[in-house]
Amino acid sequence: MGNGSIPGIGVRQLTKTYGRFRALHRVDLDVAPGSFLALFGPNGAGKSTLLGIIAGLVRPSRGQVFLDGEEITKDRDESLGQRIGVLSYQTYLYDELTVLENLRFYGKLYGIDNHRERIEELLDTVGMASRSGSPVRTLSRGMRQRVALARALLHDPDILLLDEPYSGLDQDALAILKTILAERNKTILLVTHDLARGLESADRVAILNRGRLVFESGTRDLSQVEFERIYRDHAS
Amino acid sequence: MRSFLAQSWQIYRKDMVVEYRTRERVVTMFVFSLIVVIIFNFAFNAGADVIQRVVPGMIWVAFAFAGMLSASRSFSPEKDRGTFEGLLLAPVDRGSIFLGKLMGNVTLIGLVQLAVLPLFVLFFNMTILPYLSKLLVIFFLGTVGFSSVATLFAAVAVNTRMRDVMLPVLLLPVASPVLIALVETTRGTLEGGDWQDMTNWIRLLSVFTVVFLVASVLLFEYIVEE
Repeated sequence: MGNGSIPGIGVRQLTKTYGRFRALHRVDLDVAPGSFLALFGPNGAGKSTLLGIIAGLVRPSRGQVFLDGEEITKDRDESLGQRIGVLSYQTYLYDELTVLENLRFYGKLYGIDNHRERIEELLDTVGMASRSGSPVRTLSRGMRQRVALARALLHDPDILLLDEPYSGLDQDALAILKTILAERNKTILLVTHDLARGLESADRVAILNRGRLVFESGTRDLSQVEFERIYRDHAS
Repeated sequence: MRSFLAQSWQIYRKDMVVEYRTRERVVTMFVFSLIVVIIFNFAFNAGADVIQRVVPGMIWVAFAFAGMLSASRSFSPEKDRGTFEGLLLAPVDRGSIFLGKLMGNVTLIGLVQLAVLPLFVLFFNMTILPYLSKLLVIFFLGTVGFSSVATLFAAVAVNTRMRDVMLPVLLLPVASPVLIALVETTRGTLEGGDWQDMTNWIRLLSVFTVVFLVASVLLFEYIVEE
């Protein structure tokens, strides 16, 4: 967790069909170890399905996903959860439990030995230490998303999968997230509709449309205006 | 194995804390069972011998439907709020999620049985004290067996659009043998029967419980995957 070599993600010929609907079609994608790839696409492009397959929530119809060269799509390996952290627009938090109870629950599921110290540290980082005893149902959307960020980082994963993580975050929380993402000690795959933020944070960008990967590029020489034009051309 | 049970325990504990704070499931189950007792009390205005024969059926109708409510509600709020994905993302054996959910359902059905069985005794003038230990064994086996199938099918149904209709449609045909065995063994016990008189039913109940408990733990992983 977080201290070994950082794994890269490899996606090969990944296809996922739901009945007749093809959510993903022969997608090939690489996220190098320690790099940050932002994936864009219109609604229904297959972005969340791709994230779900990498996270082990969705079984692909065909194709493979590799972490550090090791195939993870054949059989589910429980230890996958230790290596991957997911921050989504869904917070995965229980409304009836307090912030602390939620994090303790997940801390125990993730088998974190010193979860008390880790929780305190993360609550400080996301600025929620003063609300640790509050039931989650009493928190605003942005506060919940901060706690969700702490939950995603609780086990110090090597890989972060982010699905619309900016949803509901205020400026302070966005700054915290930006700082965490800028540390670059994790392999990050971000799915978002926010072209400016994605382009600003990532090393590479990709566009998925109707289940196919239609564009991929580094961000170094890519201006926002140019990328917006490319996005319009590829995502319509 | 120890970590498997520890993970199940964490999920069970979390579910019970949530239930203690909302009392969502247990109140619904209790009210449903209470209504069954009252309706049957008015519907069957018969002699003692007839009552003796039909009460076991009434008891298990009440507890089976209360059990279905519990099983369904053990997944649907998690699915609707997205927390179920949070459980699936955790590095735990998915069978342990099933076991945690099952333990919660058995506990809640057990609580409802504790509250409602005395009402059956009161309304239908039953005698259960001399047979209490036998009834405990039968109720425990039956509740675990029925809940195993109910929890498994609730996990299947929660992914469908007509989840509330789907659960009884899937569950009741499969759970019929255990329900029939429960009615027969409960009746046999209340009539003062010995274990030997009910050997076949007890055997059926035990085999059903063990088979479905083990099969459900093993199959759960495939059921929850999209």
